[in-house]
Amino acid sequence: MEWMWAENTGPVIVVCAVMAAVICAAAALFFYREKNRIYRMACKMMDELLDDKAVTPSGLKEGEAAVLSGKAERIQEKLRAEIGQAAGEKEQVKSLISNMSHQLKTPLANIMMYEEILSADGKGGKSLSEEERKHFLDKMHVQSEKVNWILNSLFKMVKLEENAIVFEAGPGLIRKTLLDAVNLVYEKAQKKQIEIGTEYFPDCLLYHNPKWTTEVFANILENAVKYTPEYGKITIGMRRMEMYTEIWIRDTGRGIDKGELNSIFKRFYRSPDVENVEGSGIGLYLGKLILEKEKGYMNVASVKGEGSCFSVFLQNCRN
Amino acid sequence: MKVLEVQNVEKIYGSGENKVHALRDVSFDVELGEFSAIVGASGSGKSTLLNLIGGLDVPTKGKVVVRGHDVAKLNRKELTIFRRRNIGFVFQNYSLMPVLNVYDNVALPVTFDKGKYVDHEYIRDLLTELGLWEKRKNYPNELSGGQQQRVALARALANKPALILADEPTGNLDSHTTIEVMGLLKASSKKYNQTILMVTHNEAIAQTCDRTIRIEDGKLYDGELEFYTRGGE
Amino acid sequence: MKNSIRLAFAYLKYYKKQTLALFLGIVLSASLLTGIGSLLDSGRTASQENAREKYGDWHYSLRCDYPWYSDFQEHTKGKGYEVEKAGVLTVRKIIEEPFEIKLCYADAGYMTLMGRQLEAGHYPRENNEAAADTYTLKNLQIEAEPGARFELDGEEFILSGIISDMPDSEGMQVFVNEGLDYGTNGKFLYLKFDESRRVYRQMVNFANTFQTDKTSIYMNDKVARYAGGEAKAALWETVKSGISMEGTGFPYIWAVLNMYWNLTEKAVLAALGLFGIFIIYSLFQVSVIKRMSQYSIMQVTGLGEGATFGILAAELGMIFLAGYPAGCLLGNGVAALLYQKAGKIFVQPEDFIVHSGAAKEQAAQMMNMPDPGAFHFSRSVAAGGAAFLFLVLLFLAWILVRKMRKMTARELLAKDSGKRKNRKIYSTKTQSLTGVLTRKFMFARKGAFAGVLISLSAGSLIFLGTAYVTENTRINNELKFKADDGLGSDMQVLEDSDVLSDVMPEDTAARLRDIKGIKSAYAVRYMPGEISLPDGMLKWTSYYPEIAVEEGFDPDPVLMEKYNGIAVQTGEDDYKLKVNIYGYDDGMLEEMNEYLLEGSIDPEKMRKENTVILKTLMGGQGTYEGISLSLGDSIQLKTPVNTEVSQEVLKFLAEENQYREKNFKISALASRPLAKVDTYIGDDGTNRVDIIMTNEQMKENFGVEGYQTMSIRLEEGADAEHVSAEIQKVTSGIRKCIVKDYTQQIETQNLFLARKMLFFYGVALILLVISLLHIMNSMQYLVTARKHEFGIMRAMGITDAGFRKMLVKEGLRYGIYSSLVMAAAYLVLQKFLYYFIIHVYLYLHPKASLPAFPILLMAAVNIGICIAAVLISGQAVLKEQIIEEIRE
Repeated sequence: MEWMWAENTGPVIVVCAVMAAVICAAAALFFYREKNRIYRMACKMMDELLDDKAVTPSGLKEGEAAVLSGKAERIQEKLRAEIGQAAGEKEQVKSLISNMSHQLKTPLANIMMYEEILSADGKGGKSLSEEERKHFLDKMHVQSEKVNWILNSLFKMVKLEENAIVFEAGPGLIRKTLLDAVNLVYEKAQKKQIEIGTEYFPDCLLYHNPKWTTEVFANILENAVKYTPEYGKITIGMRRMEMYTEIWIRDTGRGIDKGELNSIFKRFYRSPDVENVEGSGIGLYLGKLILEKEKGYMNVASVKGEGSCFSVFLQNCRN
Repeated sequence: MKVLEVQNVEKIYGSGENKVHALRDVSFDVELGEFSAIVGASGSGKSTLLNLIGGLDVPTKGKVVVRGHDVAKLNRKELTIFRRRNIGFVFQNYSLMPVLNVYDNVALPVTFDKGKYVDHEYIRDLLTELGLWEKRKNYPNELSGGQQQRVALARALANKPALILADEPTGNLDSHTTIEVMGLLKASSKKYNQTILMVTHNEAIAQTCDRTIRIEDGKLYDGELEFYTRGGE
Repeated sequence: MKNSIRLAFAYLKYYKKQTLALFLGIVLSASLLTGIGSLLDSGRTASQENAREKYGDWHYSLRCDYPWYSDFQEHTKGKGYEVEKAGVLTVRKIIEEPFEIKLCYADAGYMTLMGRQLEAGHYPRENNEAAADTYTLKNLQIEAEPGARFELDGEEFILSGIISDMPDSEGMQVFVNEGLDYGTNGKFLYLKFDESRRVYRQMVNFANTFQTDKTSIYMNDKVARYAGGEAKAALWETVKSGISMEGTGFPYIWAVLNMYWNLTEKAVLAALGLFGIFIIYSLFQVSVIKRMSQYSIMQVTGLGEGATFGILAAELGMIFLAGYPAGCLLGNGVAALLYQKAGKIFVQPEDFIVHSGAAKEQAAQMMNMPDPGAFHFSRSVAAGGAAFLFLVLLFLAWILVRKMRKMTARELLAKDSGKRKNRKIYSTKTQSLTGVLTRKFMFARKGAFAGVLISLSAGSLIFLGTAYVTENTRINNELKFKADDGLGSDMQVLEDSDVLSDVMPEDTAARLRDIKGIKSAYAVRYMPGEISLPDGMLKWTSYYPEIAVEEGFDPDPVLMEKYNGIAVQTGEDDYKLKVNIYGYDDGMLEEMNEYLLEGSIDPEKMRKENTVILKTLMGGQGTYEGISLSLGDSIQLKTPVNTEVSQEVLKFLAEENQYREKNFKISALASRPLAKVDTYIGDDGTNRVDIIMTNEQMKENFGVEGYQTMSIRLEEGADAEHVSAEIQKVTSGIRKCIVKDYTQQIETQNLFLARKMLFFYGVALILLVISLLHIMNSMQYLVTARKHEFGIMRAMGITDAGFRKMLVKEGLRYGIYSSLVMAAAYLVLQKFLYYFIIHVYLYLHPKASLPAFPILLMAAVNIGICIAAVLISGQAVLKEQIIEEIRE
């Protein structure tokens, strides 16, 4: 190296400086052009997005531009999905209306029948005794209640499905929620001489909304009472896990067919076996919707003829 | 909006006398946000189907289209990037990197994308959602099976893929943990509007899904009723 | 057992690639081991044969004029011993003047043992007849012609026959008739035992059988050491004295053990064996890991550990049965070819390089270097190697079975290291996790990491070590070649005379330089002298037989007779030493720089300040501390007053006026002289002290004008024969002046050295190639072991390019780390080797280290190979189905 500094210092420094300058300039040019390229590409992508054309370059390339275009594709899809969803919703509303009319048909027909009977009172010579009239009025009342309940349920369901209702879920003690639900069906159970018992059930904080969750339990319990013959038994229990707590409700009812297990949580699904039993086909579906909002879920295990066990899973509250 | 379209897919392994028809004329679609289960006995061809959809294998006949990409038409590199950006895998054996801690395991697939910034907010959210935030600095071998599978799930979600393919995600877990992992799968499918396709042989697990696709002997039956009415066991 | 073999065979067939790799590994190891074993063995046998010729074909001798002798004649074969050949020498009389000469009668057995044949005439038949060899006759100044008459100890003899030269072990002998008897007989029995057994044991049994004292039995150790002539207990003695005796230490132990046990050879073979095992182990390990899952399945189905071991052992055994013979054949085939072409390089050098370029009759012998004899297949190495390798293979199988047990509890193992884990989250800090992964993969298991690094650096380490030794061997050979063998010059003109006044006149040099074809002619002036070393300045008093008190270490009778010995004791710690004084030309002094130990050589300064170069003694351990004279010290030099003095004066016992004394300051110390004169007190390059100065100083100080020798170097392509004739013309008139042409010899020697180097480098290269194979294999193992993880990464969407990039990074890391380990280990090894070649192998002026280039080159090769290896095995990973990898 010494020779460099001895005599030839001048030219060497000049050469070095020139080289450094050239390299710097080349680098600057490169980065400028690169920036421009990316900008133009992003711009083009936006246009394609706006025109609903296929985004270029393909999102299946390596590199920064491809990552961007991949994201753009996702945005495009989201837009398309939303459009598709809107169309689907229209379809849904249609089917909902037809379903609703179907559901309301029976109680309404009943009401109309009772109303006819009552209004015909005394006209055709035949008059109803006070007792009879009371009976029909009661029946009419029950049917009106039912219509009311169905409409309420439908209303809730629709709102829930459309995300129109946002209920707040938070840590809450579960025992109270469950007790409220049991109280709602207690009378009916009493009537059928069905015993409702609980196993180990410590109170604990679970992530849920008491009002809506009461509805979930009530629906399950109602079904249990409905499909359990007289002198049957309903047992409620709880199991704590790392993230979830399972609340299970076991009955000694008719059980569910294996092929149907997947369908009972569907909207308006009615098992062909229970066509003559009253029911709307909304309860479990509604329960499922509510639980989804609470980051929980439910499933069922059943043996035909021996009974079913519905489990509700709610997230533990972590401190 | 269809995320996945499987059209008349056939898969044949081997040739001549050793020919095995893993799948015969399988067709179905999966909608955005749907949580479907593919059930069937072992050897029925359900894992083969999952591998085809995940781009880990190519069909002999037919088309697998994920988000508009025909998987069979992609070259090796495109297929890899396609997998990275569109498919999240959850395997039965968790398949975590033993040398990385939970957080890095989750972030790993994101870092494969050059130039992509890592959305640490999102990862934090994921880990909290899956109850793993406290464990983020632990290594896989310090976690229980359920926790490991939750990490795997977080990893699958990290890239916001179009489709999560879960191959017997609860196969190695006891019934407790199975319930939890399933719950979280469901919860995250709802929360992130994520499409999930899960393979399992466990009927009880399948019923928690929106939809059950049954495969027996390489043939597909969409829904339980169809299977039973068509003379299934 | 049968099942195991069947299963093992099935595996071998199924895993063809692994089987082939293993087979190759065994073939290579076996061929290297047995081939080199056979080469060394053949070389040793040749050395043994050469030693027989030089020292006589016998192992022990003892006095036998005892009653048991007749008993022995009837029982040459007895309990625990078998005498193959025996001979008796009867010493009739020993005369002291002018030399120590034995008048003896020898039987035919003795003559064959000593390899002495009748060259002319006949053995003595009458009492006044005698036979002798030319050497003795020359010393006695008797004409070597049958019928010559001469007088010995006042008795007259007629020379009846000429006998071929005696072996080195015996002194001067004159053979006389059996009937001649002076009444003082000493009968000596010479024995050659059956060499298929250790001769030492036979000797002991022999001594026990005939009730003789075995300590009085003399061993011909140069020959007997090849046949196990030394007591085993003596080895322990060696070690003990090596530790306890001052000035011996490790080099002494090594040297002695090497002499009797061929330690170097054994070490080389052991190293090769170890190397082979290492290779086989790592090859097999990969093969086993590939199918670990199958073993675990089999274990689940009830295959016991014993049966697993059986299968592994059967597998290895089968490959071994096929591979070892093939390796033997290959190795010995190549070795035989090599031996045929260049067998000489394997024969031990000290037994054939004759270090006396000036001796006329021996110079001719140098032309045909040692006889390498025929190549022979070393059964002992082959059998020993087979047994050793087989045992090791069994051991390997056992280790692998044990390892398998651990592997099944892999998770358990992983948990162990969980305590001191780094809790850092990397993805928040760094863009790419692949680098982190690479690092973590490497350090996850520290033991394995260290193992891989060591194995990676082992190959290049061996290569570098070999290169270092080879380079120094080359330097040493060249230096010794020039100094000790006197082959530094193409031709030599010398005065074959021990009379100081016999010199070449000064102008001869100038006339020689004028001859066409001569590049340079260095003239050398000579004068014998004596230096005094008072007050313990001579440290190695046991160096010279004249002053050493050691049985059987006798001074040369000729030197005693002519010069009163080399060393003379004058007081308790005072000695005088005969020295050679040389005057060199400036050109030759320049070349002396290669042999410089201390100080500097500057002819101008030497002339101006009248300083000299001291060529000191070299000890048996390559040290130069025999005389405590250092730079700047002055020496008192006593020389004859002029060149015309009588022979007697050279004994340095004459009157003081025959001598002059002068003091010289030492300006440099050297290890060897370049041109030597050994017609006076002799000079083999190591055993004499020389004082070297300029020719001008010789003239000024001692009045020496003529030249004793001239070293002539020819120009490139000059016609040696023609030049030789021209030189003859110039020197024809000079008394006792002869011309020696070394060109042929130099050519042979150069060829020989080149071949030797080639062989060394060849072996080093083979080792390197094998270790490269091993590196490839280890890296492949590393990659294979992590196939599961790689499968995950691929499923997660790492592209092939990204994957390769990650692997390259890893390969680079391994390459760099292993290069660092290699460099560090090499520095240690180099220190060790340096010590060894100086103190044990007595190399001249070895370099302390290799230049940086080969080390850097090896590092680059290491890195390159690591990268190539990971890429190749990475390719295998990419080829496999992702799903398969994940399920593993």
